[in-house]
Amino acid sequence: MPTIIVADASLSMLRPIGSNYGPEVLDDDIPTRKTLTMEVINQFVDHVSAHCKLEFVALMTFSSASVVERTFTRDLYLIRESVLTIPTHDVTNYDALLSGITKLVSDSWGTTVPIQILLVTDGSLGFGSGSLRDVARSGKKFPFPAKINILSLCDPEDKNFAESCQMLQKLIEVTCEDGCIYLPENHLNSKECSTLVEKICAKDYTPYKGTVKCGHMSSKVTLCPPPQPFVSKGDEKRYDISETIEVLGFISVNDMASPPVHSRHLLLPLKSSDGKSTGKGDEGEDSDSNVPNFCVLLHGALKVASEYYCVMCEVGTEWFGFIHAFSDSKKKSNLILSILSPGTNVIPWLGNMQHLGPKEDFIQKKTVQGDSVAVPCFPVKHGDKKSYIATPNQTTVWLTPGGLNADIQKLLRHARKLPEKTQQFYKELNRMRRWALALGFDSILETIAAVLERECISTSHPEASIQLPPVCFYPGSTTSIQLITSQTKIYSSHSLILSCIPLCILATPTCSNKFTYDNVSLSRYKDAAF
Amino acid sequence: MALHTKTVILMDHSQHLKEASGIQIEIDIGMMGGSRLRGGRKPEEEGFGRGHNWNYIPNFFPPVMKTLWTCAVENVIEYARIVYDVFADERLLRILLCQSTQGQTLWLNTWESVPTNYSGKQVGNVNQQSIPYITEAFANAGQPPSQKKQSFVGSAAGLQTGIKAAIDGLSQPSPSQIALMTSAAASGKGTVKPINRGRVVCITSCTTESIGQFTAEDLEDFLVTAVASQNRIANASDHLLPIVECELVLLSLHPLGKENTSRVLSRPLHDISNSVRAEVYVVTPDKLNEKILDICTSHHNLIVSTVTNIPMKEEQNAVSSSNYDVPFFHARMPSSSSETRMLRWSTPTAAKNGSGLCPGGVIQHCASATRITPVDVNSRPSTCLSNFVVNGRSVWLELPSRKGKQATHVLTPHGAEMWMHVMESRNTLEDLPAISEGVGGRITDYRINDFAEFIKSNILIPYPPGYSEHLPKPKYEKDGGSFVRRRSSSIDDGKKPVDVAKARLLRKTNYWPLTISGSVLFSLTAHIDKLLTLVQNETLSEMDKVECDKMIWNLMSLEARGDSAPPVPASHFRKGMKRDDQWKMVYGELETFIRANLHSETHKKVLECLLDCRSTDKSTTVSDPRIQDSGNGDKGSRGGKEINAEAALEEIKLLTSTPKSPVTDSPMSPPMSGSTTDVLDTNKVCRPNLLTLWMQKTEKRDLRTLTGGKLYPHLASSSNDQEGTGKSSRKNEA
Repeated sequence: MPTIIVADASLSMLRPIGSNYGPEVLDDDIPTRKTLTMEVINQFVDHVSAHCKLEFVALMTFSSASVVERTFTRDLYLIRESVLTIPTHDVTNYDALLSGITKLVSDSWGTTVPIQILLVTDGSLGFGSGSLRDVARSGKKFPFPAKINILSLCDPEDKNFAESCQMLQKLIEVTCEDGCIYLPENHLNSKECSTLVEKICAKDYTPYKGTVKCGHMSSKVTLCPPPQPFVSKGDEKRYDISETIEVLGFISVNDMASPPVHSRHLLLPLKSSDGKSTGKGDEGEDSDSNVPNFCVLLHGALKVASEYYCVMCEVGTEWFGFIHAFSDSKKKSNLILSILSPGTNVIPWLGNMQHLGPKEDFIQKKTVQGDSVAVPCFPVKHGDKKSYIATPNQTTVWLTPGGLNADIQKLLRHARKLPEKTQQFYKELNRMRRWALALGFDSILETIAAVLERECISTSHPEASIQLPPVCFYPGSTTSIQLITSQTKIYSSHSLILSCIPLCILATPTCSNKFTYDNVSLSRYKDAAF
Repeated sequence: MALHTKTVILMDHSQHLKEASGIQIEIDIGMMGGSRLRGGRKPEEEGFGRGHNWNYIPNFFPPVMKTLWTCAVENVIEYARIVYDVFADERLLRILLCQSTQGQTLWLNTWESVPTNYSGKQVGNVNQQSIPYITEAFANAGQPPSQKKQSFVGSAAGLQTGIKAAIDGLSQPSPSQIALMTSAAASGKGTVKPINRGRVVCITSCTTESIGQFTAEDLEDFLVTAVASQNRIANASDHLLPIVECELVLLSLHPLGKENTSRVLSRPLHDISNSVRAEVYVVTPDKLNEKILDICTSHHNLIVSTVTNIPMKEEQNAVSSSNYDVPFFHARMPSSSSETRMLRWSTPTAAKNGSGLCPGGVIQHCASATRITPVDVNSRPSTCLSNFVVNGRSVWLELPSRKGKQATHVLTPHGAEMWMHVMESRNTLEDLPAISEGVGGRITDYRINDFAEFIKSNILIPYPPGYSEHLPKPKYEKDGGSFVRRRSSSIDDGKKPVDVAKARLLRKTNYWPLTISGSVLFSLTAHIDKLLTLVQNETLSEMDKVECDKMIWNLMSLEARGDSAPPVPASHFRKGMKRDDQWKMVYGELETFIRANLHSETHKKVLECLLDCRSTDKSTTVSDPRIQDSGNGDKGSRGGKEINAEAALEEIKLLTSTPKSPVTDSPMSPPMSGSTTDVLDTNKVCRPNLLTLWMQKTEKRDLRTLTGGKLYPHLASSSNDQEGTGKSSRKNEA
């Protein structure tokens, strides 16, 4: 992941370190915190250029304002060049620093790429607004995932030491909740600092070495950037990437459907260290590219397969990922390992990863057993229908008068087109009735009855007037029973509902799928309505 | 477990909520015009008479009024709709009714998804954590009763019973918590109680009539006590979980204009104790929906974004289209900022079924994804958009930014759910070295097409949950062969489909040369394709075996046909290699291949067949392939050397990975039984044709069965040592 090196450029950085230099040492020869900073950064850049070649690094300095000395680049020579010209300004202002980082990252990477920040400071707190105290209290979280490593060039004997540590720790918590402070243990000197850099590099900048394994086929690989262990925030459970990336099988790209991933890494084959190339090894590097490698074969096959596939694999205990071919605009094609969030059930449409099994074995076993079970396929469906899916029933929402009136009008439209729309009429009628009962909204049932009755009286169309009465007023007639039974989905099984229904038009289903009706006569119904 | 995973909604089901809301709803039946004409009847047909009648029939219906209860229920259902749509089964809701006048409580559902009755038996198949279930439960509960006999008049005792029951509900474990506990218990960690948090949303009407002289503070104090006492009970129990953190939202609902009768005052979220917080709101029905959506978005960290400029055809005029906006809820994604976003309709994909998400078969770099649900689910633009997406289309959306347009968001369906994916605008994977620049990159004769076939035959599918329990233990564990790796810990491992997949890959890659020049055998696919696929299966039926034998004889007959060299490109052999040696190489590799795949006793018979056939051909018995290969290699020009090196490598790999396999345990040069050799020796002079081979084969088999003598007794005995092959060999004897 891209790294920003931030160097403190406040005036206090010019303080010489330690007091154990005799008078014979010239003032100019006593190292200052600034010279230490330069040493530290150079050491870090050396490590990155040796071990993490594809890393992007940027260099920033901050004082009363933050300056981007060198934006993200893979050419670390440029960074080294800029280190030589680190300026020195005035006060320490963390506000300027944080907004500077945010701007740099948003401009270069947007808000999705995780960033590592290496802050080298002398631990001075600054004063007033923008001081470390101020920012630790009111600072904002970075809008992108980040991790801060702070290398504090603060002498343990300094009187601000304790507070400075505490505030820097708060800074980490406030801005990204992830990171570590590295402090000299005894005295502030060049050697101690060098050890600290080694620690940082060992922790976060060690290249990954592992194996991709597909049955008996395998290849040594490295991942860039190196994958980080994952610590779940809820239960502090730690997940580590295994050294064996074990292939489980293949899934079509469309089924995989570009899921959100935890991190992405370039997968590069390494030459195998065992004596595989006996007799050829003396040809040097050239021989490596002539030794058949599983990854290259895999890449080729992923590119030519008639459908596009990606490779499902296990990258740790209960941790999964997938490998796919990727080519950028320059037509250079390679393999990418995308690591999902840890867990077995992280992509809902793929279901539980541990339930992924070979299709052919499934078919074979089912054939042997004589079952004609349909072969399951992606996406894995999850139980319940969502509210926005209109079949078989539209979701009812009467939160606004509009929603209610729209339903009444819809019912009325169907009523006017009886008998062709009988099915739809009953479906709507039952849906409204169900909803009214759930809400305890009895008065609306009376209104619906009144509306339908009015429609009956008012209609002069011969066909409609013939059809409507049996539906509305003589529910006992066989036609209407058949109509309802054939169309209605049974809703409730409780006699309680019976008592809630005031009107004969509303057929009430019972548990045995039969319908009983409230035998209210037309006259009584009229009394009730008006 | 975060605070939002469990929410109890406590609703006062007493006559106080039966009061009218005070908001009149006008009934509008949409008289004439559009809706009528759209019905499809010609105006003149219904025409005059109908219009005439309208004049006589009153066009007015008295307005209706919801009760407080109706308002509360429909808002609770709306809350549930949003949560279930966006989070599916990740966040759970329970609804509790309490009759504050009676001191009775009623749970409408449990944390379980399977519907159960009181005794825990499954009833029906409607998910308890779903809208249909909740709606039905509300209907069953009915309106609040209107009876006047009150045992708790003017005291909050009824509400307190409700709060106590709600806390009790929170301390009951959810299915995922139960799973955690059982898995911990199964792995011998003893009782592990997952961290348990939750919220209570309480909808009531706090008037002097209902809660008497109680104040909100009294209720809050009661909540703290209730949590504390429940935690004591939970700590002593083995199935209840203590509540680490709890939040109460008290909504006091009053008819329009009567909010001043409230005994409580609105108060934002505040700490009551270090683990309990509360907030209080006094609301009227007209503001209730707004408040509930507020609470829902803050509880579940939701954001409302809007898809803008969606072109939609008008129903009545299909030629023109106008643009609509559809707002929708979605979970806040780690990367997105807090504010509502306007996302401009950009590119709907023509392709169906999700392929729009991966244009050209390329996986997109997705940063995060969330389910979405429309804010107004029934509005015409909303239904139009959801139908479009749920029917399989994906739509790319642009996020207007200062850097110009960028299509970064995609609406897409995953199995009848609407999702929004957010793609990375830029990432670090740019300007990367090509794989061809690295190790193995210069080789051009990889068996790419064969591996593409391999991919197709190893497709993964989601096995139905519980699938493995119905099956007998997978056979491969019993078969020995090369699968010693997992044997020790196989009981649980073998059950998971994912382990079946791993075992299958192991089986299929026992012998898999990477390059074309690395293998003569796989250049012969046209002649022995079935053999190559069948032998990799974990079991062989008798028919399969015959098929394999046929293939071997087929090869023999090719050779026997006279002077032809093996039908493979000449590049496989070094120049001037004798025809016999070429064939020898073919058989050598075939033997290596079959030996690498000795999954069952039948497989061994195929090997036997090969060895038999070869011994008819050569006076020497079959030598150890390793010796043979290295012998060839020593002489070799480049081509031959590579092949042999490859074969030897495969051998070495096999040997190192499967130290106990029968491949090494059995001697490589099995002695022939005297009688067979005699018969075959006579045939050595004139090359056999296919028929004679077949005759010999069947004859030989008969011979064997008759005498009861066993060929290669050492093979059987060595495999008897192996737990794996024991069973199948016993079966053969029987």
